[in-house]
Amino acid sequence: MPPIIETFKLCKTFKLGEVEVEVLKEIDLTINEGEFVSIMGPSGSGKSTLLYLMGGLDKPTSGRVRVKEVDLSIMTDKEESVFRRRTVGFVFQFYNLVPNLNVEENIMLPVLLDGKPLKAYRNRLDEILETVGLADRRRHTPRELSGGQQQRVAIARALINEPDIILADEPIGNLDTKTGMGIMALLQKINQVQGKTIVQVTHSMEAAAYGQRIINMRDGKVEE
Amino acid sequence: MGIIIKFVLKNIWEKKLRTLLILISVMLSSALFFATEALSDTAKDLFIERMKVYYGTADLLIYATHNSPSNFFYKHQAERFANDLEYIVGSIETGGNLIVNQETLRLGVKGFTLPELQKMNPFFLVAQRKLYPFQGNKIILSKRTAEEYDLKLGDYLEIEVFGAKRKFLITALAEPVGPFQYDGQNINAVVPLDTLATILNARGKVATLYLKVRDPARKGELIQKLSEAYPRYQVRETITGREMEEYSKSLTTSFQMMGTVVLFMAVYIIYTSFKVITRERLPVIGTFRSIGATRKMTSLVLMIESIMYGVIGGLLGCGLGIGVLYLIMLQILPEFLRNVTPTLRYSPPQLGAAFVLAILIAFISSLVPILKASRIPVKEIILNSNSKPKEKKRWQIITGMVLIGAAASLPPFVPFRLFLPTSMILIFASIIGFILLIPTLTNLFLTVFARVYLYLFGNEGILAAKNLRDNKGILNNISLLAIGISSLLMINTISISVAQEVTNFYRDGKFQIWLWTWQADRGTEALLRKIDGVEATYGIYTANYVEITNLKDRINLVHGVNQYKYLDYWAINVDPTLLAELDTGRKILISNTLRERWQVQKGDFLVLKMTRGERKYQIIGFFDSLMWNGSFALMADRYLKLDMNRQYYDDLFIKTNKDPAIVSTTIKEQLKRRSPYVSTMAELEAENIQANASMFRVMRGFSLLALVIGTFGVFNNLIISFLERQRSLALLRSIGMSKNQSIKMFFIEALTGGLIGGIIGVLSGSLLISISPLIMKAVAADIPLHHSLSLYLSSILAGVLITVTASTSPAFKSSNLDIVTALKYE
Repeated sequence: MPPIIETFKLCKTFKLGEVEVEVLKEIDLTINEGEFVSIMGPSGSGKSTLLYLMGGLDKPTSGRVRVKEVDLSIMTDKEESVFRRRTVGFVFQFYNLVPNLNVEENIMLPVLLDGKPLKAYRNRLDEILETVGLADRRRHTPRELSGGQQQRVAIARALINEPDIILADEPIGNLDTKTGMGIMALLQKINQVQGKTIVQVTHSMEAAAYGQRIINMRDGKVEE
Repeated sequence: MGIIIKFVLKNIWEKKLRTLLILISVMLSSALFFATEALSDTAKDLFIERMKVYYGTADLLIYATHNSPSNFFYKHQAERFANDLEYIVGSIETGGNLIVNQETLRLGVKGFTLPELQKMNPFFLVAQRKLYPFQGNKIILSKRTAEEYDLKLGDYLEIEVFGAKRKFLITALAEPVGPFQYDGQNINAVVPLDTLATILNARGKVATLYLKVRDPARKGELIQKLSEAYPRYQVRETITGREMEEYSKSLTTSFQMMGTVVLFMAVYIIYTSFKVITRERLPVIGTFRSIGATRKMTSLVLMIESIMYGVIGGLLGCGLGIGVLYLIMLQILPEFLRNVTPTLRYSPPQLGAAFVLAILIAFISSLVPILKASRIPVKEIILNSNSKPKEKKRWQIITGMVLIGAAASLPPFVPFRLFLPTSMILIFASIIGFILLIPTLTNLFLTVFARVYLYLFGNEGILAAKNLRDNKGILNNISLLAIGISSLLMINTISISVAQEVTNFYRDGKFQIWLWTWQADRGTEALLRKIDGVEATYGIYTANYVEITNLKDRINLVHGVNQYKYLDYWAINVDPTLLAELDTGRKILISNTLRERWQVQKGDFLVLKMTRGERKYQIIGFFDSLMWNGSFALMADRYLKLDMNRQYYDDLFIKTNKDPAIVSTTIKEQLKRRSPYVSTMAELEAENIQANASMFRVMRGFSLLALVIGTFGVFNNLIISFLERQRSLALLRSIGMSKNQSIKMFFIEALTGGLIGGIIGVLSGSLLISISPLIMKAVAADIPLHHSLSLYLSSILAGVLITVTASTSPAFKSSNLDIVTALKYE
């Protein structure tokens, strides 16, 4: 399979007061199309930072990230936004849903931002709701859903614009084991049935095992 | 305790913008409260200052009226009461024309003896030559007049007085104060009393007596005795308490209303700020409580914080209040008193009250959020589990609707004596009613806007409309705007209506020139009719401030009506047959304002205190009029003449068939011996508009102040809203919202918030306007309110401008948000 995400000597340094902390140290990494990769490592190893850089949410201090052969560092804000809308879909540990919007509205947010007519996405919405098992909860607000259901909404939102890549930051970190495994099974199904490339950051070996490849990180470096 | 104070001070210091906002709110409220309170006393002083030009320190006046046997009288009857009086000063005063540099100026010529004048109205000479003995053709001018017209000591002045030209020698120049103060109409000069008396063949006599009583408590008794001593002359107080009260009330009422608006807004701002403060402090409160602090103790810490805002804001507010008072004074000071530095009258209790008010505002506004926070169980605070969805409060909608319904429907049923308190309660009720309904109304508007926005702003419009639902920051902004806009709308509508009615009043006159002159009668009318351009004249008998003994009130103006002429001169909507009926006996028509105030009906009797004693008049009808604030009545001229013992007309109305300004000049020229006061209606209207202009300027300043405080409040809410929404904004950025989209969304949100705030403000304002006639009637003027569409539209526009301007900073902050940091932390 051809590479879909590539990083070249990727570095990220944070300034904490007077002290500079090197979070990522010259990371070279390739993720191929259709892969399900789990990034593991202790807290502070830089795994989430790496994920955010891959998704264009943050800028590297040096080095480059190439997604689908496009260098993220040369993108304008508008290009970056379009990239986040169409090429990647994010799933976060704390779901990050908009509390006063219902399930449907939360899922359709990327479509709204893309300026597309919502009507055109009706069928796609129904399909996704079926996939994530929330067809009967479409009018509920996040407050009326359990943690697992909320994470399913977040996954549905990540899928609505049919991106090639799903980036998940601790997707089950806030859920009990049984619910968490349900979510992992859903992500695995999306990877296998829809062929989406999935990169997840996780602390859990059990969750990591759903992927095809595990990347271990320690002190800002990859230990593959 | 030291640690707690330090903790509180640190909290205050850390959030500088919020501290500034709360302090400004407290400060402005207490400053305006103080300025309004002190204005009442200062305005009375100003009134006395105005009157001093004429009366000096005198308490009582005796002078001839139309009905006195002569214009002059002896002083000796008054001297019988010398033991009760500090001084008795006699004078003869008249108007003259000063011809200087081929220009004719109006001159007030005052005949006094210098020692007496010095006692009554102290003056200061800056230069003199051969002043003493002060007799013959000597004259004292003010320094200002001398400088203005290049006059010097030793110069002769040609003055036209009592129809003849006379030469006077300038023997002294005085500071332009006291009797030499320019009074806005006349330049004043002092000549020897004897000189004027000789010219008028009244040696040893005076035309006016000024008296100062030793014991002010005996003023009433002395008036009685002096009236008996001078039975056919007028004996009265120079300045009555009632006149002063009315003058001061006319100034302070509008300021009190403005102050209430600012107070409302301040309370709301402090309340919302404290809601945020208590939420922010919950973790600390939890920590305190978990280590053994009681609810009372944690609440006390927050209360100390609110009191500190009150103390600091109160101290600054008192200082600012003095400044505001000074600025108001400068604005309302009449032109001719501009060279006098206004004396600000305020007392320590007034400063103290403003200070206490500041503390109370801060304390009471913050009490509800503090008590609410204290009720949260410690477990919920520590586990941060206090995030149960709030159920929609149906009671809010019902209470809101009941309050608005009451405010809209009750006014017609309120009796006159309850107008003022009821109107205040109804204004409060409608504002609170609208605040309670704001979440529901906002959702209704948003449903409509969301559909329109799709076409106007694309998908960002829909997103903005969705974001606004149940957004506390925006709801707070809408409430703040609704309070501010509705109150300002009411005040401005009243101001505009007053201004318009003043204009309309002069337009109700169907004549062009108004004339007052001494001993005007049919002869005078005949003289006037001979003047080129004079088409017709109407001499009228009037009576002012006629007491109604059976109602313990008074009518400010009574016109003695000639049934055949009156309606040709005044466009008053009254049935002509009723005017005819006036002639059939002691009958009276009163304005609808008086009918409402007295709750009287056709057929009721009024007992009027007239010159010839008490007379019973029967009410035969009512009419609409704003003349003298609606305190106006009509009776037949023959009865007014008889009962008030009148011989001469009080006013003459003149119709012209040529340019009224030219005819007016001709009349002045022709009647100059009588020193008439002639004014065209256009001039009177302009004078009145000018007099109101400074008041409106101050009102506009206050409105601006309320808008500034509103803008600060809106800005604060938007910043709070931004901080609360950082995470969801970061989320939107993470799923593909560009910086431009983010800015656009923020501005659409602000625009919508402003628009809804403006619309609700206008709705609430319309309700307040419908209540305000109660206040107007209670305060004195039954003025029809003129609704201005442009005012309504500009109110909505102001709401939009305020929110859009205030959202600039949060909009750009949101676009530059650090997405990762905002997303990472719960």
